[in-house]
Amino acid sequence: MKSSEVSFISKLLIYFVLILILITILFPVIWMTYTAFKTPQEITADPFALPTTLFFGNFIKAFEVANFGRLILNSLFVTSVSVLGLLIFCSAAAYAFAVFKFKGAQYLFIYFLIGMMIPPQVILIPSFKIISTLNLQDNYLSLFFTYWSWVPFAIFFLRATFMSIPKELILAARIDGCNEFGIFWRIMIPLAMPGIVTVGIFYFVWIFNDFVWPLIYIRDTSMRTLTLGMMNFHGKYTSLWNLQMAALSLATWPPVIVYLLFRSKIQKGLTEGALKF
Amino acid sequence: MEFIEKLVPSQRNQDFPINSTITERIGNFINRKIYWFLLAPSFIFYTLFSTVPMVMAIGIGFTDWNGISAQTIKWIGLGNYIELYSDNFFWISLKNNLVIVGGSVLVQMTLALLLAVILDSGLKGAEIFRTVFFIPTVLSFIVVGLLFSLILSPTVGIVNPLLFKLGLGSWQHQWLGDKQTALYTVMIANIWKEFGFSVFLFLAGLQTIPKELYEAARVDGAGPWRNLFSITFPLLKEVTIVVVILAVNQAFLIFDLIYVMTSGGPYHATEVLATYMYSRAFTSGRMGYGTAIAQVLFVIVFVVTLIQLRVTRAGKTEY
Repeated sequence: MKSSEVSFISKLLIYFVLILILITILFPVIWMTYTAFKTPQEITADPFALPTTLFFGNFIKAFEVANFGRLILNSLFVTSVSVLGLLIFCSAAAYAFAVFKFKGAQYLFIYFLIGMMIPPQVILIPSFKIISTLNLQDNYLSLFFTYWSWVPFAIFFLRATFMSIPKELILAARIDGCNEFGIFWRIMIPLAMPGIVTVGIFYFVWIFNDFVWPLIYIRDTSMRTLTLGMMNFHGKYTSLWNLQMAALSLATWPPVIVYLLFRSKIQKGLTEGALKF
Repeated sequence: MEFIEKLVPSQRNQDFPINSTITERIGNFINRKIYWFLLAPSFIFYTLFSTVPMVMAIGIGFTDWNGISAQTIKWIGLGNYIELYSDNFFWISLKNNLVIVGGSVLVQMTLALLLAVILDSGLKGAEIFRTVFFIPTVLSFIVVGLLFSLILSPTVGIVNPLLFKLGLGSWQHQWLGDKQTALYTVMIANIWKEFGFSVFLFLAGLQTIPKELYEAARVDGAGPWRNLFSITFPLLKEVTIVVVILAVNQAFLIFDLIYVMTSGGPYHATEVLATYMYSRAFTSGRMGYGTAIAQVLFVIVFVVTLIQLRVTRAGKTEY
């Protein structure tokens, strides 16, 4: 359906609906942000009013009380290590599946595929038992190990990526005397980089925003991730609205800003990646 | 792949001269069996922290384990499941789950599809809408839940005052505190977060439809509506299946959002299977029972997914 074929009134209606939805998404976030700049009295006075001055007090207080810097650092640390590990392990496994014929390859692949259907809720309790038996609670290794078990998605995705790279390159490299690991590390990975980046973005968003695993593994307040910290802050200071607004703003804008900055790159990678399926 | 295997010397078992070093032999071994090493880390972590817990979960569901002492575990067979059958809260949770699944999937499927079609039609400014619609996707459910809790707050929120200003004062509610409205409120929050991703998937699918089809149809005299129903929708069938399966999955497993907004309250009005499982296992200390709930949830999701795949496998799309 081409835009030029539709009548003017229909177009108006369409724009109206689109803008309505746009407002539904943007206004809450913007409202929360400018409310965070209001003094506590202003907040309860009129919810819609714009702040009279830019009061930074809420942000400063929230940052301190919630130990915000720590929360973000923790989340970034956990996410980065997990994603890095995932990308390395999954690229390796996906490459193995894509290029090598070995006994039981098919069954092994299906074995990995089944994992995509396992929801975290089912393995929550047994995993907790395993981790506490290994005495890894309140240790980031518990989170690393958990997230590193999320390999099936990327293996499935990257296998297709590797399979689309011409096998002649491998043959040529072998004839030139390159060993298998060198082929993998220095030829295939750079060629599969777009797919790897796509998968990396997915994992980064999922793991950074994950809540349930930090919830059951991390009790130590200084080790909390952002999601866990926000939840706790909300529970502890529920009626301190000024702090709530500020803290939530601090938690909301970084991912949004990162997304807006890298938007075109992200969208391109995601679309190309999704289509290669 | 076969021809590569035969031609390349490194793949064949080499005869070692007597004086080759251990390092060389090890190096050659690694080279030949590289796929073991490539697959090993993934396999280890996946097995230890995904499949082993999965198998354990099946077993734990048949016990009355309280999560702490291993000595007092008793095998109670189907005891948990029998108790589940007569557990009111279980059925309430299931009902709530179904409401959320139904509402979320319906809206995501129709609204997202419509939006994708509109945005793909070359509308001016489509890029802006596309970008904004995707923003909730990068937020965590915790953030979304807290945000909604704030705007719905009876003291400082904007939803009630907004209704009042629009002359709909009688519509004001304690959205999250009222048994009648809580579940739908949570459902709307879920849709708010998730619909952008569905739009994105549909857009990706729309881009795979060759433009020549529309040209050909136009030459044959088809109008925009005809195009939509005869070309676009049928060719989007596979993407739609993916969207629906993902949406159904997500709505059945929903946990974070409800945990942060209502914890399943008020009085189980927003209790879903995942939150109920959590409360039984970690709050009430009944891990055996909680695992049984999780098992039921898993079976439901599994079966529903299978049914969807089976029902929609009505032949591949042809032009």
